[in-house]
Amino acid sequence: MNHDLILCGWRVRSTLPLPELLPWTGEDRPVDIEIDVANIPVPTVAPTLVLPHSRLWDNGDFLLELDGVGRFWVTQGRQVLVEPATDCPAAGLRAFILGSVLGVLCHQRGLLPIHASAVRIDEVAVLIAGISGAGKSTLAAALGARGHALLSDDVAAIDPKSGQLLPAYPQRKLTPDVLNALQMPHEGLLTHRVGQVKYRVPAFADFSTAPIAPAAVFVLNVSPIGPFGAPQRLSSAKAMALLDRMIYRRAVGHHIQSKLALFSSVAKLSHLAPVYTLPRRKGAPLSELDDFAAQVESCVRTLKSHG
Amino acid sequence: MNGFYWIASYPKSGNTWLRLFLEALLAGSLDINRLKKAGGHAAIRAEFDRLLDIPSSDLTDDEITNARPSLYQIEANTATQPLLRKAHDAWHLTPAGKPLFPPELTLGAVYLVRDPRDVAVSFAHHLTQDIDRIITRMNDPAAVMEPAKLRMQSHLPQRLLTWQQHVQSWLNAPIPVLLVKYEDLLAEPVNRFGEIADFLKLAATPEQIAAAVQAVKFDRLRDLEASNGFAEKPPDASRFFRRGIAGGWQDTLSTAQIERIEAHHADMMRRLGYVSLG
Repeated sequence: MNHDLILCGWRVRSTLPLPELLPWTGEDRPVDIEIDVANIPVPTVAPTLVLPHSRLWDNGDFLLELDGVGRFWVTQGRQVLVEPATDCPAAGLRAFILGSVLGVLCHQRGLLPIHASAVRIDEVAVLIAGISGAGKSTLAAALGARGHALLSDDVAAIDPKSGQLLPAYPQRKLTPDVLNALQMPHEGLLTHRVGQVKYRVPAFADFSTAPIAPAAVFVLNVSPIGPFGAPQRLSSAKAMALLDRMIYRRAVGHHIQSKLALFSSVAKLSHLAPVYTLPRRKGAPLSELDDFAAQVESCVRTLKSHG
Repeated sequence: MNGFYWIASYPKSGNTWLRLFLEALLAGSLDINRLKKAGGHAAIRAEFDRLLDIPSSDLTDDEITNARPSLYQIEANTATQPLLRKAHDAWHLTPAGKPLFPPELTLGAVYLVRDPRDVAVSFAHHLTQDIDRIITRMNDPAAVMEPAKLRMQSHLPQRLLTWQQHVQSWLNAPIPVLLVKYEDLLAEPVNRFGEIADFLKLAATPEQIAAAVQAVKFDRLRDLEASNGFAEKPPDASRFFRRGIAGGWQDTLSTAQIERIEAHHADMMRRLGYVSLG
């Protein structure tokens, strides 16, 4: 009897409760990732990359540090140590385990994490990428309301070897206005971080952990001035350049994986799935959200019917 | 080492006009929706995320503000020439107690100031809010532009303080500051814009200054916005380039509104000559 969990298809054993993840129901095989609460042994050698919240060593070991939250040590793509700050709510720790730490685990394991939400439309994966605030989770939720299950929120992990997307975990992050627009209840939900307005919304319905082929990538482009309209398919050079900018924890990834390895993965993804820019008018009312989602759905279906 | 020139002002005080002038001067042409030389802004969320390699969506407002000085350090480390950055934040210390705009990375600041009675009218149009609410906000020491409220914005939260404190904060900052009044820019654009170019150490001939001033004449900007739109216009505002005059408040504000603004900011308005001494 164990309480192992599944994240991106990995068997995860955690001494810190992670209620966002589903229980491991796969074969009895060795644990892929262990997450423990422990004191973090920071190396005495100098890191190769120093950012305000992150430090990275030559061998790919990674430390994330946030005052009032805690410290997170990620090594070898298989071990995470968490040292919580005094009084940090457990949910605050999980925001970083299921965000930055997940992104770094992907890099350490040679995967391509794209800053994207992903949904399943007719048995294929569709990625919705974009910068913070572009509306990835919002569009994924609107597609959810049209019956398309969530695969990942914010970090979409692609395995360049198999060419498949590895579904992450069944949770969305949504603001109250989007919840209202989609008639989703928000009683009893926790916020993403204390002081933030985004809620964590479970999305267990139809969530499947099985790897799935990506069929299209949409990159949201929010602008106050047009042209607006249908998604625009990009040439392969432009697709690769844009996907490269959408790599999650890109600077850290460049050090862990090398720029060439990541660019090869980007090239592979752009070969497997056409890349579109998806123009969105800044300040567009949420009443237009369903039409916007329908446009994406129809683009994917047209693409599939043309084989 | 290279560093920053901050193009600083309270909102609706001529900052965009000045940046468009600098763009016309430095780029030699002007597409108001694609600034090549003077489009930098100190609080772009996507730049923060990219250079600090962390999604700002996972951070609180205080955590973001605490990390911003490091963002400027990283930018300055790799800069090959002085960096121009628009800033609406007051010059203040982060919650961690460090200057948001590190003096050691600062080459100088052009601080633009405008009569707060005109600012109130313009700000109300910009945010499509009523003027009384704006007047209250301009006197709120806790005022923040684009805080983490209903939805995430393309810019990071920017602390404004009150209008008077905003002006004071930049004038008292331990950096070289060129104070420029919006009203003086309107009255004597060639001279005033020329002084700014000198302060920024831009090698420009009087002819180039005059041509750039011509390129950003208010009527011209209004026409450009009418035909192509303007990316910096808030979605709900009818237009960005609205009147571009000084003293428009006189036919817009009620006596009670004027009295409120003058009472809130009396000291600084006197100091800047917006109301008479005595």
